[in-house]
Order: sequence, then C-alpha cells, then structure tokens
Amino acid sequence: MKAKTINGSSTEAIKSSLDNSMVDGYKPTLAIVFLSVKQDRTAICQLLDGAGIAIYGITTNGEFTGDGITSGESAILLLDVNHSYFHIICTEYAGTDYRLTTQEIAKKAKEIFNNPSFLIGVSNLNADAEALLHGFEDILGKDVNVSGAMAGDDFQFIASYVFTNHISTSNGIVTLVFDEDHISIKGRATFGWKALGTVRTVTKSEGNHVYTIDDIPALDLTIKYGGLENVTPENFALEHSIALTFQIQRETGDPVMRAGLLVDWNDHSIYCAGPLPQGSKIRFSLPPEFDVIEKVISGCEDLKATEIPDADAIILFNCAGRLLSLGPLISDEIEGIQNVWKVPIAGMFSNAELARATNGNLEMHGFTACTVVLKEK
Amino acid sequence: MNQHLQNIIDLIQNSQHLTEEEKGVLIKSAKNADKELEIANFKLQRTEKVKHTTAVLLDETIVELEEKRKILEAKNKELEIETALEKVRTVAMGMKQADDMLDICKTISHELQKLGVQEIRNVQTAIIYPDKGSYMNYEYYAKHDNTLATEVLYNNHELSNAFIEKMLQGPNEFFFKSLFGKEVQDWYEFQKTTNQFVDSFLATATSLNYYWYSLGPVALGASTYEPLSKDQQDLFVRFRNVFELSYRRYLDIEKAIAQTREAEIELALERVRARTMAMQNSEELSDISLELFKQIQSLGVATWHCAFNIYDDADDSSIEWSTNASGIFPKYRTPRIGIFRRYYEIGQTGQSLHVETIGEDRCAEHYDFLCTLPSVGEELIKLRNDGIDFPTSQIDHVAYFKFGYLLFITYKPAPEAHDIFKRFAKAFEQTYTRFLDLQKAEAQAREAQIEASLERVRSKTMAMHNSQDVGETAAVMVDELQRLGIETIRCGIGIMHEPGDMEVWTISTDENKKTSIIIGWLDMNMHPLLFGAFDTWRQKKGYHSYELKGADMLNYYTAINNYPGYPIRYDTNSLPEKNIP
Repeated sequence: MKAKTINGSSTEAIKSSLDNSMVDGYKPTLAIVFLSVKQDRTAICQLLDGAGIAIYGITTNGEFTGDGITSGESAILLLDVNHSYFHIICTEYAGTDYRLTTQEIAKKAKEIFNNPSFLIGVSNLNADAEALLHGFEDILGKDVNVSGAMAGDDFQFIASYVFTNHISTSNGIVTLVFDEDHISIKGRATFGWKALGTVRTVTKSEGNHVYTIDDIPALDLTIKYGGLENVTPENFALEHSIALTFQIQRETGDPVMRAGLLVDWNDHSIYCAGPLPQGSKIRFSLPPEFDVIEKVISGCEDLKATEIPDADAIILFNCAGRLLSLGPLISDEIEGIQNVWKVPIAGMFSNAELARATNGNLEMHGFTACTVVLKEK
Repeated sequence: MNQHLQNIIDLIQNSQHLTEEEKGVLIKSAKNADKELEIANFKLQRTEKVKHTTAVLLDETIVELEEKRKILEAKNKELEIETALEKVRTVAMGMKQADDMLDICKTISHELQKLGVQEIRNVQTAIIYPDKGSYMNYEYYAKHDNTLATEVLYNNHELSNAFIEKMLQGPNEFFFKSLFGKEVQDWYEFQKTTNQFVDSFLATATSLNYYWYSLGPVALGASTYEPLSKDQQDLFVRFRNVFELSYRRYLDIEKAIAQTREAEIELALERVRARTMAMQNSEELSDISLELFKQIQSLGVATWHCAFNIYDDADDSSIEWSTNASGIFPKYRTPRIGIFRRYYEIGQTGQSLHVETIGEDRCAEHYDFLCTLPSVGEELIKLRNDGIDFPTSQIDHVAYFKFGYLLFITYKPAPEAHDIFKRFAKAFEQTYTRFLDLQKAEAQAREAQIEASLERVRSKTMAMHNSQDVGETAAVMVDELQRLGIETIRCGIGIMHEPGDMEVWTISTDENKKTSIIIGWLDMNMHPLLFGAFDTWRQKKGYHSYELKGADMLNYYTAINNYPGYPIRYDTNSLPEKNIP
C-alpha cells in the first residue's frame, strides 16, 4: 500500500492538501487522523468521508508528520489499503465495564478476520485503559496485537475525543482492526525514564486519583521531594509534573510511568494519566538523559532488523510528557524514527500510550514513544 | 529566533553582494545555528531544573533515610533488648529453688552490660524475713564474676534499714540511694565488719548507687559505680518486670507443689491414723508399724526401720513394735540403757524431735549391742544370716509423743522430713490416746460388769438360809460367769479339810441352761492337780490353775471315777483335748 501524509491548520488547508495528494491518481481508503480539539472535527470528517476515506481519528496534545510538529492543527496519514483488509469500530464505553466494551469489539473483529490486529484510540482520562486492553486479551489471548494511545486536548485535560466518519465521542474508544494476514503491524515502546530515591507506597487511591503516598497528600509529597516552587492549577501539568514523575515498581517486568496531570486543590490529591492502585510501590523519576532519543531510534533499528525490515508507513504515539521534557529535541526523535524506514510518518502527543511492554504484557504506559510500523504483505 | 542570528539573516537578505544561492546557504546555516542554540539553551535550562530537582530529592531522601535509620536503629535496639529480656525470662522460668536467683542475677548483669550499661557493681535479689531482722541476699558481682548467697542483718545500718522499710511497704516500691566520696568509703568500712562480701573496687570508687524494686515477696536491685541514666533505669525496670512474672510463676508452682505434697502427707497420716483408730489391742501396733513404714516410704523418705516405742509401767525398759523392709519384728523390750536411755531422757525434756547420727565409727558397735537384746536381737541376727546388711551409718529420728516415741531410721540426713516425723508422732499420739481412753472405758465397763455380777452373787449368797441354797448360789455364780463371757464346763465350790480332803459341791448346767448340784468328796492327794490346789489353799494364795491334757487328763478322770466318795462318773472315751481347772 502507499502512504502519504497531509497536515494543515484548518479544514480548508486540509482540503487543499488532500486534493494535492490525489492529483497523481492516489486514492486513499483510510485516514489516520490526529487533530487538535481546536480543529473543526466534524468538517474534516465530512471532507474525508466525502472522499470515500474511512477515518480513525483521535484528538491530541500536539501532532506531527515528517514535515514537522504542530500544535492546534491536524496531521493525517493517508493509506490506500484494501477495504477488505481493515474495519473501524467506534463505540462508547459500556458504562464503567471497560473490559466488556473491548470484549465485544474483539468478538466482532474475530467474526470479520481470522487474525485481527488493533490500533485503538481511547478518550476520557478516567477510563480504565488497562481494562480495555484486557478485554481484547480475554477474547483473543495474551498475544493479541494491540497498540494505541489516550487522546489529548492540548493539555487542558477537560475533554478529549475519538472519532470515525460519523461518530465522535469523549467517552469511548475507536478501534482500527487490521487483517494481519494481509497487513503486517509491528510495534515497539521505549521510554528511558529512570527512578531515583526510595520506594514509597500509594496509601490511598481510586483508579487514577491518587490521594496519599506514604500517608502524605500526593501533591505535598511531590512538592517536598521535587523542590517545586510556585505550583498553580495552571502550571502543574505542563511545568511541574514532568520534573518529578511517579514510576510504578513491579516485581517482574519494566516499571511503568504515571504522570500527574491535574491537582485537586481541596485535598492536594493528583489525577494521573493512568491508574495507580492502592498499595502500589512507586519511586520518583526525573527526566532522562538526552541520549534517550538515541535509545528510541536504536530500538526502531532493532525492530527493523528483527521483525519488519520494510514498511509502508509509521504511526508514532509519543507521550506529551516527552514533548515537554525533550523540547526541541523531540523533532530529532521523530526524524530519527522516520529515517529508519524512510517512509511517511504521522503521529500525536498523547496522554498515555497503550502497547506491549518489554516483559510481554499489554499495558498502559507514560512518557513512552510507541512506534507502530505498517506493511502490506 | 536568536536576535543576533536574526540580524545576521536580515543582513544577508539585504546584501547586494551575495547570490541567491549563497544567501540561501547562509540563511539555512543561520537557521540551523539558531536551532542548535535553541536546543543548547533548552538543554541548559532543563539540566538546571533537573539539577535543582535532583539536589532537593537527594536532600529530602537523605533526611528520610536518616529518619528511617533512626527508626531501624531503635527497632534493632528494641530487638536487642527483647532478646536480652528473653534470655532472662528463659533462665527465670527455669527457677526451681531460691538459689537459682543467682543465675538470674548473673544473666541480668551480663545482658545489661551487653546493652551498654557499664559500671555495674552487682545485680541482686532479697527475700526479707522481718521476724529475724534479716534478708537472704542473692548477688552477682560483675567485676568479680562472683555469685553469693548471704543472710544479711539489716537493723545494723540506717541505709539497710531504709531500703528494707521501703521494700516492705509493698510491691512496686522503689528505693534509690547514691553515695559519694567519703560516704562510699564509710560504707565500705562498715561492710568489712559484716558477713557481706567486701567489694575491693569500692576502695577507689567515687560513687556507689543503689536501685531497688520491690516485687512483694522478693526485691530485685542493682548497684553501680556510676549513676544510671534515665534510659538505663527504665531498661532495668523492664528486666524487673520480666523477673517479676517469672518469679510469680515460680511461687505459684512452689505453692502447687507444696499443696500436692501436703495432700500426700495428709493422706499418709490419715492412713496411719485410720489404722490406729481401728486398733482393738496393743498387739496391733505391729501392723501399725508396718503401715507407718509403708507410708513414710511412700513419701519418698528412704527409711531403714520404723518403730513405736511405748513407755509402760516398767521403769527400766519400754516396749517396742517395729518394721523394716524385711518385715514386721515381733514386739520386744528396749532396756533403758545406752542409746535407749538417752532417747528416753531427751524425751523427758519436752523436745519434740531428736536427731542422732550414728556414723561409720559407731554403727557396727551399735548393731552388735542391739543383737544382744532379747527378741529384737534374734530378729537382727536372723536378718544378718539371711544376707541382709545392717546400715554402715544411719540417722535416728526420734519423734516424741505423750506415751513414748516414734523412731525413723534413715540412711542419710532427711531435714526435709523432720516436720513429717513430728506430724506422724502427733497424729499417733491423738489416736493412741483415744485407744487408751477406749481401753480404759472398756476396762471400766468390764469392771462395772464384773462388780454387777459379783453383787448379784453376793446378794444371792447373803440370802442363803441353808445348804440347799448353796447350790442355787453356785448356779447364779455360773450364770454370772457365763454373762461375763467365761465359758465353763463345770463349776463348783470346794471346802478344804485337813489333812487333804475336799468337800465338793459341783454345779453343772445342761443344754437347757438348767443347773444341778452334786455333792461329794475328793482325796486331794490322788492327783497333782488336786494336790496343787490344796497346797495353794494351804499357802493362802488366791489362785491356782492346772492344764489337763493327754494321759495326765486320763489319769485324773480315772482317779475321780475310781474314788467312791465322788458320785460323778466321766466317760473317759470322750474327754476334751484339754481342761484348765
């Protein structure tokens, strides 16, 4: 299949880019759409739908293609993949039974393809993304191929969206199902944050709402150990939470990052990007060395060497925290990843990444660069 | 964009001397430089932030670790203390007797030292005896590595007095006293005059500090060459608490053991008491001596011999019933000489128990003497001939009671049994007194019965008017004899006549209890029985008896049958085995 990327700061710009991409007779069938909540999502969907293009869409905290990083705009990966090789399901959650939601999606996918793989986008910060992942496993087994991200909303943490041609929801999941018998999908997730200091215990939490750590309000502990100054409701997520982030320690497997996103100033508790179960053991984590970018790129080189030497397109779910931590260096990372396969790349800065960890478990990650490589067989 | 680079770009753009291509290259380079500058600035800022955060995190972590270290140290210290307390607890729980407190004091001292309490002089306990004005002091001196148990008088110094007074006020009382300088020396000099251990380190000590805690029945204390800190005193209190629990357990066990022992002793006493209560006559003392022997053995007192020695009317001897492991000895008399005289005389002084050790130098000679005594000597010789050895040394325990003494002969000293011996003597005295009282009452009743019979015979006799009445009187006499339990074959009255005849009034009773009287004469020389009776009458002696048996009996009845003066004829073919006229 052939891939192209288009971007733009408005519906008109997107239309113009789309038209230009089809001048040579290119007929895309599928669009991976990463756009800001500021964009007219409905109009863009109508535009793409009018062109007969199926949409897998997700809002972002920033988006990019090989042409550069933008914020508040749209970045779209177009693919002319055979219609019969993919299927899109966009649905709201079944109440709070997240596992049931994806069990149903998996069952439906299994009816369509013998060997389905999934690209998912998840909206609503409070959704239990790991339960969503387990739902896929319940039906298709522990080795099911799932990658994706939690949608963003330009760091407002108010409402993020996932959408397809005619459905958009801030409390649901969009799933792009590929027939892996025809489309090869390989992914690699890398983060590189290292923990520092002593192990602490989450003494009170509910899902992603962390009240106390070692019986101290989560915010107070973070301020104390991070030496954070002038913390306000507006600057906590963007400036302070990346300075000192929580890292869940596990007995087996790599640790998992959990960034603090919002503070409840009534009780100094923190809402994190992902669940932190009560009793979890955590350590503080500082931003990594700048060579973490090389690590990501070398991870992709390893992926190329071992699993998918050729690609048609690259999708990159990059944590918004990495954007804040790595600043201008992030473009080197994107460029470096693209240079491994030298194919079109599109991606987003997400609130969390959904991928298989190095120990093999499907999990929700933070501060992770999740590279998904596509190749039609 | 960096302002300087922007200026350069502006200049380049406005330059008239550069080609467009050159401008493009230069501007691109400037933009790249700007990007690199931006990246460098970003890295610098982020590094500074990370450095700051790291420093704060490090500082806070150090403080946290320090706090955790202190907590851990405190926990380790507590663990050390608990381990030390457990060691003391283990030793204290094994306490079986008062002397075991020495080990406890030593263990407490060692454990306190391990926990950093230096300059311990001693650890000690005290059991106070107010009646004696003393206390039993169990001490361990750390620097001398010496344990001592000493009975100490306390009324001879105000310090000791004050300490005891405080302890006697009750459990949980605390006594503390520090001596300094000359006070230490004065106390040191005083201790030299007592029976207490003289601690030579006091000669150069500048202070001496006492810490005593009352636990009620016992006190636990320590003395030190330097005052204890508050923490150290609190630590010692924890040792005291452990000791207290264990000591109370020891007392409870002691009490239970004592109660069990008391029950055993009471049971043994009761068995002897019951056997004595059932006694009908003095001959049963043999069986009772066996019971006594068995019961003393059952109480765990290894005994060679047990005896009752009862004083009777004889001034020069007593009668003794005894038993040993070989069996009951027939009763025998113990002459009031030598050791027996000594035992008798000691009893007369009012002593309740006399203990005499017959050592190896005297024991053989003692048994040689005993073997010469009638009855008991024969039994002892029989034992020796049967291969049973006499003790080579023994301890005689003589427990006195009103009518004599109980003798318990043991192989070894048995001070723990002294009280038991006295209790057996007392119990025996009570029941033997009752026995004697019963005997006396029986004797009195018998005497009354006899008197009543005599009175009836007397009355009948007084009412006699003629010789015919003699027969009736004799019949009454037979009746009364029967009433008194004396069964007679024949009964009669004989009137002696010189030179050797007897007028015989024979009364016989048939199976219907009907009496009849037959009068006749007998030649008192025709048989020894008759001659003996006549001779006794002649000598005015009150009583004569003669046992007829065998051929002699046949001769007697043949002589009577052949004498014409006596009308009764006896069937010599159906004579009884013996008669005792």
